[in-house]
Amino acid sequence: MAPVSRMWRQLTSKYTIYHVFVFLLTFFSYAFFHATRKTFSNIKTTISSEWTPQFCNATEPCLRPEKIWMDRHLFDSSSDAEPFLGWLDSTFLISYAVGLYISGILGDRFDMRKVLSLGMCLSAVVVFVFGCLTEWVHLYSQPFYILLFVLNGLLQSTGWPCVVAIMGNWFGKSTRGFVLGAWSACASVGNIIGALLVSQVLDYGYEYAFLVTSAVLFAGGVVNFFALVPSPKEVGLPEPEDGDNEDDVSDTNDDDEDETGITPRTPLVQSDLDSPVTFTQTRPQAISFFQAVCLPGVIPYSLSYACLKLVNYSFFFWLPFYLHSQYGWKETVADEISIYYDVGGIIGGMIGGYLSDRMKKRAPTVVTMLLLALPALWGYSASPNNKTTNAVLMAVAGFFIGGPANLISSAISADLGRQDLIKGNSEALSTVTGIVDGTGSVGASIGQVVVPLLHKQLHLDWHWVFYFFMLMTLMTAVCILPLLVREVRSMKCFLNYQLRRQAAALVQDTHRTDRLNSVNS
Amino acid sequence: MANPGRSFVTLCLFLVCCLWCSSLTRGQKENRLSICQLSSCASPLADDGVVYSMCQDRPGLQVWGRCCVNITDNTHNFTIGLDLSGCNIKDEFFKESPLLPLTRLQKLVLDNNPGITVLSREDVAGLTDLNYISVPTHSNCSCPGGEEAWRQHIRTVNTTVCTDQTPTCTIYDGACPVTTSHCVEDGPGLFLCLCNEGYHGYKCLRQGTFPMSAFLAGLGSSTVIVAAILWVLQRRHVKTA
Repeated sequence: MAPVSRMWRQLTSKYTIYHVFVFLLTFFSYAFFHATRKTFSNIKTTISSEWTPQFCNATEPCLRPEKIWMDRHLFDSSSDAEPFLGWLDSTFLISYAVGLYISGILGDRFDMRKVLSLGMCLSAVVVFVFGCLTEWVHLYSQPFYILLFVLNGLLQSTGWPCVVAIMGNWFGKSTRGFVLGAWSACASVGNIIGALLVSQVLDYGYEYAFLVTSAVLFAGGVVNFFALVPSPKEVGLPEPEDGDNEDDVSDTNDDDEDETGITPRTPLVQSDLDSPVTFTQTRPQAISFFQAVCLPGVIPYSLSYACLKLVNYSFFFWLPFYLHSQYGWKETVADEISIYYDVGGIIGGMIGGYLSDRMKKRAPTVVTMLLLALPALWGYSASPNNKTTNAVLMAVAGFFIGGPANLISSAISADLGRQDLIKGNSEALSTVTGIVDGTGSVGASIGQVVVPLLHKQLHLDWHWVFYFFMLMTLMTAVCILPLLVREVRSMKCFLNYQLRRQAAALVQDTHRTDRLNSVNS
Repeated sequence: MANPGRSFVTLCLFLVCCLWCSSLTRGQKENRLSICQLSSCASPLADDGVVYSMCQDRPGLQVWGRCCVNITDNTHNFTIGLDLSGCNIKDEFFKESPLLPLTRLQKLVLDNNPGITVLSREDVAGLTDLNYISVPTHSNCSCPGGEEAWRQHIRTVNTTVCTDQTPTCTIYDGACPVTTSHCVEDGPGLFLCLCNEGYHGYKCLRQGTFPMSAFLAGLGSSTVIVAAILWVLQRRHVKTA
């Protein structure tokens, strides 16, 4: 009973009601962003029917009355519409990648609450115009659609840097891995919300699916404007600890603690962190883009995330085609199975986050999981024609690939943006998150081009696509190798240093007592 | 003493209405008359023709020019037979769909018109009652609707006669998308796919009406409530610089 009440006391002393609402608000903000994206993927078949006349040829007569069946001619047939839908996806990814760099910078310079709310509301308007207004006015135009998707990509990119930065402001390094691992479920929850809303409303017409998801996103933006507190400083609470040495103060689970909460590891001189904080009225200056890029760890993690996001995205983009051509399963099966991947990713993110929190090092956990992802991917490519086995293998692959992906894009980005080098001197969280995720999206866009090339142009079968994914996963680990080496060495050195210091202290003590004794005697 | 101005206006209105009504009916009659009395037709309805014998068959039918008209219902007369043989008809005649208003037409005679080289389905669109058609025999010209549209074909040197229209919906059985629409006859070789009950819109893809006001009201009110509650809980204590 006592350890439980002690844990509860620690939890309530550390986390306030503000933490709860910040978690929930940022969680659902990003979920709603994802819901609008998912709307587009789920209505692709319907919207391509709306753009084309009913198929007819010599054997199948053209249907009459023409007003009902043959009137729309944006494309001649669904197979003509498909490449355009692919172009829309690529346009979105590219503008999203560009937007991430920009939004990251904006988040550090302006009030993140305002950036996020504005981004959500404007993105909702653009999605509404794309899906709903064009249908009501019967204006179907390819360049207009592309323009709207470019705008949508730029506006949606305000989401991730702001929400990760806000979470990083409230949750310190010691618990960031686990909390952000659980919080990363927001993307999958958003997909589920989007899929649910679409399925409920699609019968009324595809434009209502867009109306509902964009209206919900707009509402979320409004709520954020009135309710979100981006940083504990704004309400007079202390900022969470971020450096490596200050974590010992809060990590008291296994130490015997007296009533005042002092443990053998409590520093003898209390640092300023514990005294009541007079909240800073002004935010520290925002870091410049190039300074942020040059921060240690940003480039390796950005490049590794590019490789990993390539695998993630391409895997999902091609999964329906792969399952259909390998096993003849319907495309909706791919949707169901991808949920298992997401679940595996969330669990992997949480466990990896927890382990890296305890070790106080992220790279070892990430690299280990990535290396284990190689056999997991190979195992998935060899899956038998059985949906249950396939789902299980998918969950395992998700654990080892999605887990590190979640970690890198959230907890590690937050760590990089609040490292000791710049702590308190400049705002870098949002910029760094933007850089990491932006580079990741560039990688994903490259994947959209390369994978169809591999499959169609070079006529390689699916196994080669999997080998490509495995190669990319290996590259992800390779990019982080320098950091891994440094962190492991620092761990060993640190341990050695501790041992040597204790030994030296012991020797000093014995010398002192000897001297005292010799003086006395 | 009645207001002279007001009665004058009423009289004018009455006259205008009369003129309008008569012009409408005259227009209809004129239309009917125009195809029944084509100027290019050299002779009146032939006595030995199919249309003439149809008209003599039972009471209530009257010959008007080249047409056999059913006049049993005084207000709604409809043509059931049309004989345009030897009227110097060419392919362009069908461009404006002159046969479209003749929805109850049963017999159509077009032979002895060497100007007709091809008859497409759209030229006889809507003629669901048509069960006798004769066209000049020509390499390109066969009965409109194709071979399957008629149960009987009688081909002679000058004339091709087709009788007994096959219901098109039985030929093109699965053409209309199954759950959302159904097949409706529209003439020889023609059919319409109309939306089923409850479906509407392009390709009959939509069902029902979206409850817009309920949705907006629900979402709007819940947003206001949540924003208000959370503002009180969260941002009320925020101090700005």
